[in-house]
Amino acid sequence: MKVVEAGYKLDLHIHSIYSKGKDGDKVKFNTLENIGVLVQKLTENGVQMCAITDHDAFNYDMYAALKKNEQQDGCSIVKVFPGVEFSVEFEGDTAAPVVHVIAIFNDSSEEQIKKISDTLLDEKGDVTYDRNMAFSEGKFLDILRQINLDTILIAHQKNSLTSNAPRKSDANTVGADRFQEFVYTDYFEAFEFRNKKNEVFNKSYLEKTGMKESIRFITGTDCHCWSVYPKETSEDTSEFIYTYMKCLPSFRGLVMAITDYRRIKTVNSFFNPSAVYLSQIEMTINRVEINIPLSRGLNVIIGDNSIGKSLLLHKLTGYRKKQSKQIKQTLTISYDRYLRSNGVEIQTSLTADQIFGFDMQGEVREKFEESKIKTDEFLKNYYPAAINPDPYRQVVQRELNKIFVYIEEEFALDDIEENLGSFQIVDLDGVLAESLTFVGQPSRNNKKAQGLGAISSNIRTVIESVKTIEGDQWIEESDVKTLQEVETILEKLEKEYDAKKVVVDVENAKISAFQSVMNDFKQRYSQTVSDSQKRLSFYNEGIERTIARIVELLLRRRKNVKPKIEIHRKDIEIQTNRVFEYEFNSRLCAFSVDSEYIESLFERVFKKDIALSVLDMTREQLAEALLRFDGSPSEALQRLKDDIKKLLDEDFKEKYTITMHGMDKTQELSDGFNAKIYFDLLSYESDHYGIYLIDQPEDNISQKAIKEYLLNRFKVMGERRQVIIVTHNPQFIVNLDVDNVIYIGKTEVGMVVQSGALEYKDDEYSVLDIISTHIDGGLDTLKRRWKRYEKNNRISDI
Amino acid sequence: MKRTIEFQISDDKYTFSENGNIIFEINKDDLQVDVKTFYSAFFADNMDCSDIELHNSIPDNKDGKRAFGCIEQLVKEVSTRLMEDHKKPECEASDENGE
Repeated sequence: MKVVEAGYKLDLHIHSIYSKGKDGDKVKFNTLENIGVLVQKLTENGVQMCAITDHDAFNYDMYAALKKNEQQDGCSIVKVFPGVEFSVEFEGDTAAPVVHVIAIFNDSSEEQIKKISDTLLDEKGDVTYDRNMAFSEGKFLDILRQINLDTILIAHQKNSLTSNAPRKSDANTVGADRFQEFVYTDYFEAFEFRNKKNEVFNKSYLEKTGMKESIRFITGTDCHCWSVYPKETSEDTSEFIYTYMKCLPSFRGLVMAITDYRRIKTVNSFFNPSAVYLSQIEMTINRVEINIPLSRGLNVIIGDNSIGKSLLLHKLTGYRKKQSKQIKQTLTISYDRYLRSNGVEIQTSLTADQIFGFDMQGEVREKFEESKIKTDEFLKNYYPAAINPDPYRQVVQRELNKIFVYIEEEFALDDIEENLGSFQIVDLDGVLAESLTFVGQPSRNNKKAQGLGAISSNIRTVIESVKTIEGDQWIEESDVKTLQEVETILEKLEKEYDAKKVVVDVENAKISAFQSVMNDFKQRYSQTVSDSQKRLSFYNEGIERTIARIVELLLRRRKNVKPKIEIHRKDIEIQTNRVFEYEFNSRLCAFSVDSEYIESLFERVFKKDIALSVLDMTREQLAEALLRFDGSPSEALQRLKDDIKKLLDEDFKEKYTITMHGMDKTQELSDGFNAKIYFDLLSYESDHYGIYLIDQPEDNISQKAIKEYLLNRFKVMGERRQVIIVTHNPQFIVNLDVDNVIYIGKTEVGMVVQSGALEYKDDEYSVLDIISTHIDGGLDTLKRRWKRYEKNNRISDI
Repeated sequence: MKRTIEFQISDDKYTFSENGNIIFEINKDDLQVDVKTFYSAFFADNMDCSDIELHNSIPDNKDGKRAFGCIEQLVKEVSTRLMEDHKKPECEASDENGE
């Protein structure tokens, strides 16, 4: 067995008759002859890892009799550990109470195990207590050194840590200060309780004190009479709850599990039994079949750079990133060439249904880019519907149009004023006014025609919008009728304006015809009069033209009233969809529209310190005010319109953001948060089955963030689905406490693949060795993790 | 408010003064009327032009009389037409702004 498939049920606290020194007749049933009763009871209860831990005593025969049932047909036991329950007198805060400490020993050395008993007894066969029916702390540690086996220490803590009075033999009888010392020095690997009710109190204590990672609780039956197992004694009425540990059934596995609170549970729910998962990767290397077992939880692939780790993920997913054009054909060709040249064939390929997600190297960061945040397969489902910017933009555009129309007219009038020209006052006293003077030319009113046409066209636009609303699936029938009435009124109006325009068009056509006839007539007439008469007519026409122009100028100036921009503030509500602690927001870049917003638009396109209002500018002043504008003044107004349109396009663009619940929704989280959000959501996701594959998650996030939350997210993910990670980061392997490590390497004979749980070790390799050798910083991380064992005679043989 | 404008002569110019300030002048040599300057002097910036009285201080000057007459004609015509427009119903008045 290389990987953990489920949690192991354990009981490391069972007494035999060899506890009689302390318990007397309470344990009289638990003889070597009755070991079968214990085995039967353990099997009935499905216990898989166990230990007989007698008070300050160890009997090898009893241990061996139980151990011989390991992995036997019809028996649940897969692992029996040697152990002793020591009575140790600790120097406490105010007194020196005796605490019961269970020591579980490594079962790898039969020779050493046989000697355990000797270290506890003197020549006469008495227990070598140096205190009243207990060992001093020094003596206890001395005995452990003599036993010379790796040890796990579990302290009694039968009463909850929240209870008012400490119970005899419990660890917290030493007083608060010493107890804290136990915790912070990892003196004990775990604390043992028995009563199911205390589980809740203990959890609440850990949550309140923030000691979830420092104190690990397990349960033990403390059974003194095998016939009533799992009860402690026949009088026992408390309810017992078993502990499950996620580990390989070995001492090393037990160590790994008992030092990580996430590997300890009172229900066997380490993996999602209904999740789709891949049990193994089948491949051949130089025609030798290799099956790599996979855990239902977290699997990591490690190895040197360019060894083919990413390739393996792409190959397992059937190069699905090629379909989305995220990898090129040339890459898959080179991958296949690499496999051929190394004699590797990968038979396993996941179907689309089996894959929950696959994030290539650096892909998580890309998902949060502006252009992709809404389109990403996974993220898109969380966003609320987009906000329609039109109602807001139209309000702004209407006000802007007033401004533009005003400016346009002002500039046109400036042009007329500038080009009023000059004339000479002539002496015409002797000239008789017998010639015709043509004054007062009628003009076409094209503006009116355009205006009426625009009204008609706008009414049509509104009619079409009303029709769209009528066709909406959610509208009430009674409202449809109201809208149809509105539609009828609008259609009537449209017809009226169409008719008005026709009248103006006809009038304009008449004027055009008249102008043409008059021009022709004037031409011919001028040829028939004297030069003096012609001069007089020309002068009079000039005077008349001047008067007409000045009148037009004055009238148009009078009519071109400076617009007042008064928009009542209209907030653009952000649409939000709460997902756990996050809020997925659909919004526009602008948050509200009002008069100040309109002013800000001009401020944004003008140079700094432009105090003059756009409404008071001449063409030249406008050209000067515009940012990055080097065109002619005649082009300035168009440029102003273009620049403002760009701003409106930007401000009224749909925007998608993610914020933390409670924070200002108009703010955006930093890039570092993006990966956190993504991995959080992935870990919460339970609606969609399938395997999650990711190539180097560490690329998207800081070392600090990995430690602070990312490992936990992956841990949660691993309980819900199978995860396959390619990584170079030792934290992802050791601190994440992954369920399976796959190493891909190359030796002189070719590619090699070695795999197993962290605790896995066989004659050829140890997974921990592989990590310390092949992962930069791996050894340091392992050492930090194993530091708590320094109190043992020797550091574990990693 | 009534505006009174005095027409006078200087060395080389005919001048129109309002409240002692010269607001417009015509060169005696060429009798050229710069219309923009004329417009600015008499009508620009919403100046009241409903009651303008022009007074010719040099009635015996032949060229001056001609210049005065021309400007007086322009001022009166413009003022009259503006008054007429003002009296028109609004929709009719706005229709004037053609091409």
